Amino acid sequence: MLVRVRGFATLADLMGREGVVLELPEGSCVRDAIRELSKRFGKALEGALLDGGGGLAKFVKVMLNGRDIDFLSGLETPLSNGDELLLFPPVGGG
Amino acid sequence: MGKVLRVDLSAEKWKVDELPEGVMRDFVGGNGFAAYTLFNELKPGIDPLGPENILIFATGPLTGTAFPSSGRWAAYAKSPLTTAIWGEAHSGGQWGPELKYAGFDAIIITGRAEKPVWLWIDDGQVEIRDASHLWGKDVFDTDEIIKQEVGDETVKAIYIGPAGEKMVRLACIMDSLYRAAGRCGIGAVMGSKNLKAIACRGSQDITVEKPDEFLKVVDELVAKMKENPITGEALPMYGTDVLTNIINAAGGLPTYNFQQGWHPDAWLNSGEHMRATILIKNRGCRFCWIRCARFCAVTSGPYAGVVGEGPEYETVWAFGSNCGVFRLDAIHAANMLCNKYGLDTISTGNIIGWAMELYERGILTKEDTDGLDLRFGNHEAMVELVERIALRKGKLGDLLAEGHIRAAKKIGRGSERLIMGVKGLGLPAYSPRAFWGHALAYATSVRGGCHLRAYMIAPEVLGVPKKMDPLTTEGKAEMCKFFQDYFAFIDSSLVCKFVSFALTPEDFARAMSACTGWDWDADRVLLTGERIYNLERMIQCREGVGRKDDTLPERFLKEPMPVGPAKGKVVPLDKMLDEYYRLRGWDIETGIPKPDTLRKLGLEEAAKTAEELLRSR
Repeated sequence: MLVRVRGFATLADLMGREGVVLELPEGSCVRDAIRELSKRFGKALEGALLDGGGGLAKFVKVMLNGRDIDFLSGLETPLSNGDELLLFPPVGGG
Repeated sequence: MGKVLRVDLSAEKWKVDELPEGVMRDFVGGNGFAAYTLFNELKPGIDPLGPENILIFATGPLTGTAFPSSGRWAAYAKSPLTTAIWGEAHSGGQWGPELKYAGFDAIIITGRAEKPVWLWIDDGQVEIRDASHLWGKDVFDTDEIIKQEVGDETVKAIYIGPAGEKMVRLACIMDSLYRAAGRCGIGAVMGSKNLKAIACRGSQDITVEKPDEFLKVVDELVAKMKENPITGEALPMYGTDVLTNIINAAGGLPTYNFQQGWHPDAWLNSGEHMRATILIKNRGCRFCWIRCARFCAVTSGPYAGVVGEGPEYETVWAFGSNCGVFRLDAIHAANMLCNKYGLDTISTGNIIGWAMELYERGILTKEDTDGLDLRFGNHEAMVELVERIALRKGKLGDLLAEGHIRAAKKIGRGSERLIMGVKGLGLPAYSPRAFWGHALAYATSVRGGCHLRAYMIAPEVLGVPKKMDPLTTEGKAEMCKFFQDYFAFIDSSLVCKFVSFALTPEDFARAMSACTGWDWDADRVLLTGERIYNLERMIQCREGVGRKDDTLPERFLKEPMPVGPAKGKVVPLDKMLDEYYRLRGWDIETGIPKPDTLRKLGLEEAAKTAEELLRSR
């Protein structure tokens, strides 16, 4: 299945502003997508997204079709063909 | 804290007051000082553009100290724009600390000058000077002329532009050319008093009670802020406009006058795209390590030549997706006109978006718009209309200069239903249907449709202090109250709220203890904020504000969001509002603080007022 992934702010610097399309096996979850991204873009990206214990880094936001995965099943949230993953580093403003 | 300059513009006299220590302990400064003063001295029922309004400029005990991001000030008065009564606007820039260097912590301005004047405060000496040569000048010229007149480039000044002079109800007060005390029509109040500017210069020290302890605490806090990825990286690199993409992704970027919360072209207005196109560098206010401001230059196209600080996220949204415009050059051009003439970008962009929806629905015709083709996306019309509002030019410019509520009364034809504001203050850049806690914040903010008294986007989108699902009601009332109380304190100690991405009430308590020599802890910080917030609330309740005003436009309560991640949602406000009033200790039917609640906070006079109000309703 095909899943579209885009990074923003400092993550766009690491993975390009246009985003990528990942080809993943059926039954993949968000964690698998991140592993695939790290293979493509290196340890710097993995370090930006995950904490030491394999969980999502503090303040990093991963949105699946507009919903924060923390309110779905976290990194274990299953993916479907055509899904869009948006990755945000810590951001703020007013 | 304690030296207050009182200026009576009618009598052309000034004097200095000292605040009693008890007042400083209970109300701190900034918002607290203004609430204390306005509750005691502002007569209910007066005309905000008349001589009886009281215009306050204030700093707080932390302003101008080594505490991070401490270079700010705020202005307060009865608002000529809103039905909220409480008018308040904060600004960064340069002026706040200079007022303290010049010997004063706050200024209270009463009456009205017979002809235009400006105030010159020079190391404790005050002059009320003739401003007839300044009246009519824009913000940039005013700054230059004042500096030439006193022969010193380093003086710091705040001023109104032509919009404030013409009492445009969306007018703001500007600081160092590009920073704005934006909202609530505060610039119109200054204009109504014939006061053009206040310039300061001083050499006096800003002292703290325990300097060694204070600097030790400050060192730790600055380190915290530099380590924090939001204050230490995201904000300096991308500015507040880093929010466009994430808010759009969450389905909450208000588009076409809040008709929807998502648009595929939103990225063209983002901080990332700004960095790749018109951004020159970042900038900061005085004494700030974050340095989140932008400095942009448009070098090609129809807006070539537009150069200056900004645009901020709110401005980008207001002149961007809200008006259906997806180009940063036009947005920056509108931004610079607001700077030049002294107009609140949020209220102006919001009201133009409203006018656009009215035009597209045929409620306003081309005759009503003085020939402007006000379709969404027409950036030339939008930019032209900004100037017309600022200068009250043409039928529509003059009408919109009166703010949504008054304009809607004249337009009729159902235009009132389409106002995207609360208590007459145009809503800022977050869609209520996508962020329910923030919707509650909008409904209950003392200023009206304001995002800064409780920035619920922090938990609902950014995960600060903890992650909350934006599309639930659980815990929202409690978090909203927490933010309102915490921020009321920050707005009274008077530093920049952005420190709160990294710092906590405990951090403020430690700094305040060393600064004032008194014992502060996190509980006392929040209790003080609660006291201040309740007193502000009473100022509006005694003039008739209550539950009926703590509401949202029908669009958000009844019409399901049409597209995006929040599709199908409306805001379940009543449920959250009931819980909010319960937690606040306010009467559920009327929204008036209960006398017991006020007494527990030490607000005896306010409690008596509340008793009378509740008896008579």
